[in-house]
Amino acid sequence: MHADFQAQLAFHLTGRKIAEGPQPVAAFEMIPALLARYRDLAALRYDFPLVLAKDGGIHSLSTLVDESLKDQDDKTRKLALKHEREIRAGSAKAWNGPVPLAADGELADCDARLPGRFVAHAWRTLEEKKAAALRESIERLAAKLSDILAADLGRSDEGRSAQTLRASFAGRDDSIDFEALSGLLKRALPARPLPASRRRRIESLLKRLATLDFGPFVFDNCAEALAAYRARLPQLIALSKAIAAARLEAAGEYVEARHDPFFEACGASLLAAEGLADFPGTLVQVDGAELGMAHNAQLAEMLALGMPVKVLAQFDDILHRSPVGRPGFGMRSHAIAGMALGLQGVYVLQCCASSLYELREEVRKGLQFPGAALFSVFSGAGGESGRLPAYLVSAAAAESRAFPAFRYDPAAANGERFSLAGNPQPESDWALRSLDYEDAALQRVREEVAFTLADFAACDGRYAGWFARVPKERANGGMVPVRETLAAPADSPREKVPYVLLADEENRLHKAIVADELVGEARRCLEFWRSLQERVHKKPAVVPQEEKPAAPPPVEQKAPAPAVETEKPARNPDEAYIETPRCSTCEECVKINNRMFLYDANKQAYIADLAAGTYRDLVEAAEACQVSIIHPGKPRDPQEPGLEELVARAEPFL
Amino acid sequence: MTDTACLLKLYDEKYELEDYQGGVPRWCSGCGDNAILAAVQRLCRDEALRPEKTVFVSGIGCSSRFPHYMRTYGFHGIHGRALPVAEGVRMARPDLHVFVNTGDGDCCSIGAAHWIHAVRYNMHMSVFLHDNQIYGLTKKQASPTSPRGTKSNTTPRGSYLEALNPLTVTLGVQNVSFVAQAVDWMPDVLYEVVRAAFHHKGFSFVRIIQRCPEWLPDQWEPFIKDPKRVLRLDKSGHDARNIDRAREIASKMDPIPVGILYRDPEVPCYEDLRRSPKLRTAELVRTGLESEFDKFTVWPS
Repeated sequence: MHADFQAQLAFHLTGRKIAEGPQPVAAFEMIPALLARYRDLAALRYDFPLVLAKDGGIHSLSTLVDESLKDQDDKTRKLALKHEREIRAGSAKAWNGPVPLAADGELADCDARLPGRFVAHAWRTLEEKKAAALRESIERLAAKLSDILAADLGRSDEGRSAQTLRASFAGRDDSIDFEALSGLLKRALPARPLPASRRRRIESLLKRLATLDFGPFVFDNCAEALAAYRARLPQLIALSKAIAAARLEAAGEYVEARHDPFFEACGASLLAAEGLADFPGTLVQVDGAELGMAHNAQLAEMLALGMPVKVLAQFDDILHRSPVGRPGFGMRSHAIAGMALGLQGVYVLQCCASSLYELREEVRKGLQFPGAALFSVFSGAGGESGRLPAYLVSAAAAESRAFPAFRYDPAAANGERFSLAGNPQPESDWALRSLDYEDAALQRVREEVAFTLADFAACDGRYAGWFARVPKERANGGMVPVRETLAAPADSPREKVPYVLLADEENRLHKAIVADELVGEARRCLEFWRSLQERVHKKPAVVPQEEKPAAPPPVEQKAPAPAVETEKPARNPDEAYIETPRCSTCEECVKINNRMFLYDANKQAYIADLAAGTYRDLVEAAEACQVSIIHPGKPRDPQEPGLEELVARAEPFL
Repeated sequence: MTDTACLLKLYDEKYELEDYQGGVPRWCSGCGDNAILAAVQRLCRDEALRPEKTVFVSGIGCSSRFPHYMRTYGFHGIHGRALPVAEGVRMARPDLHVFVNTGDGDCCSIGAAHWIHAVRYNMHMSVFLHDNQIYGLTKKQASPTSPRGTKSNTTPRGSYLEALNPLTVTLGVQNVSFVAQAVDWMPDVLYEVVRAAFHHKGFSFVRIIQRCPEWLPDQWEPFIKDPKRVLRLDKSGHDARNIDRAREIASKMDPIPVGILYRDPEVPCYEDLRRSPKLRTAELVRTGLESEFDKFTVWPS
């Protein structure tokens, strides 16, 4: 027993197997126990394949099938589900089921092409809508400007010449004397042509409005995208100026003395991100593995410029080992997402391809975001995972926190910008799942198992050497699930050996010891995950409270500032005042005395001048006030007649 | 990007309340119409609505004198027909801000058919129903919203019918997109509701419960005196997307719910659905006229 533990501990610490110790694990021999039930994905109904619909929508095939099967009989249902299975297994390439589906389009499975197809499809759909809206808007503006010129022609001598008038009747009516009509029109309405400068400006605007290139602008590297944007920028600035000027012109509000210098002087500053967002955008799809230092700098520049660029950085392999130092799992993707987060104004979405459908709304928001957006997606298709499908690898990356999903939306409300939605059990360190299995006595056993980075690494053949299987008879109390080791501080004594549960091809359960190097990597992964959790739980910065406006003086107050109802100020009940913010403008008080009571800028009453009336006016106004907000206080003039009665009447309003 | 939006705002236009005040209101002292007028004028000022781009349409009744007191365009229409007029304005002049002021008699009695279909058409306009539960202009007759038992000149023994609830009726119509309620004696809530209605794209219907100090002076007194008898929806966590809950709340009158009961910005507006994809350029008009003229044959003399 002791010797077994020593051998296991030795493997854990050194990663080397010693004789009679734990047995080696061959590449692709086993997979994490929690994934055993998903070996045959074709038999399961899940999000994939997706349907990239012709109308621009993105649907899950299963959802479309379920919708089409509402109110259908069992036979139709079985046939449709069988056909769905065939599509999932790849034996059918297109839907030919017993009922038509609500949407038609291309099938997209979770593979290396998915992130690119998914984002490009959603981007194209939005761009087409945007281009149609912009085109219509520009055409309407151009039509309005053309109408100004057409109207000018109609008023000109040329427009009212006999020849033009005859042409307008298509030469069909000989009973009209067009010469006489022309003379009559010229006499009745003298020509007042457009000023030459305005005509020139309108003609020039019309030319400029026709210059927009609608793209699409899709690139596979940052350098080209940046160069193309720089080349396009002057045209965009000129066009945005033209649009702004054309709007003023069409509304008849263009004032040369005021607007000419403005349009001369303004340059790129006219094009804020919000303005740019209306113009055709740019999509850049890059392979994350090829993003080196030079490319990173270009990417950073592009994101920081605020240009409406959408960048998809796709990572196919996040278990690639760094050539020097630590293994650095996912290092490159973390660095890129971290850089984008540091820029603050960039929409960032990181997720695995398996979660793309679930997070489609976040993708759409990113594509609609007026500034730059970065989508960092792990496809799961590039590692060495044997027969495991890319969907399962990417889902395992999300489950194990190796590639956690997060979203940063600069446009969201304070405190809601950063979100971990899309992660399993985002409040916990690791996602806990129930594992049911049969023990040696053929009894059902249920165990809570965490899916950690060690489990994810067990999917990849390159790291088989970091696991060593322990035969059942050699298992001992010195072994603990790896999550317990990870929960302990890194510098705690190594008294226990961590293990993960793996399943072989026959679905037999094995305990495999995990090498310390991998435990260290899992610990770093956990730290990164916790740093993301802290971002979510970080309280938004406290906005310093504006200084409360000073309470208006009780008497002879000036018109109070527009009503901001705060807590009631402490009042001296002996002094007259009005709760101005509650005034409902009923006119009662101002009709009693329109010098004592006045309306402020919001048309709510206040006491302007107490000396302008008597205590009787105050009491009568208090009685007449529909919402009882006038407080008459005590009389100022002890000589006023009938005071005793008035004080008694004022009592309920003090 | 819309035609009216501009990439840049060169000079901010600033307006004062006086820029929207057009004449001295002839309403009785204490009338809730004054509060509504003040709130709407504040809205116009705060949103810097250009007076020449704003139009108020009304029908007949005390409340329908509203356009006279606004220094904007106005249309004092005929009884019950404020909404069709406003719809015409919206169709012909999409660049205008359209407001409708109507009373409980004007909207819920003679104009009820127009009201129902206006909700369904969901054309972009803000509709303020001044509901004082009585015909005031004609000296006290029961209106459709008068509570059962209201004594008036036409119902001296008290009205026999249950009152019509404008909120539940509106919430029951297809395509309803915005329903809110306010009371004239809470100016802050009234302003916020009016503002939200203005910003809603579509038919925003606001019932404003108002006092009639002349003919029903004590109708709302208990509610004014006891703030607990008014339920502020903005502080109650009500989800304005939940129409079932909105209907449930709308059916209760004690406490009076105030705030936005229902809002769905996704409902399409009729004028957008009917917007012609073709541009009416001079050339297109000319071509159309030519083709029309070509239909007539002139016999040779």
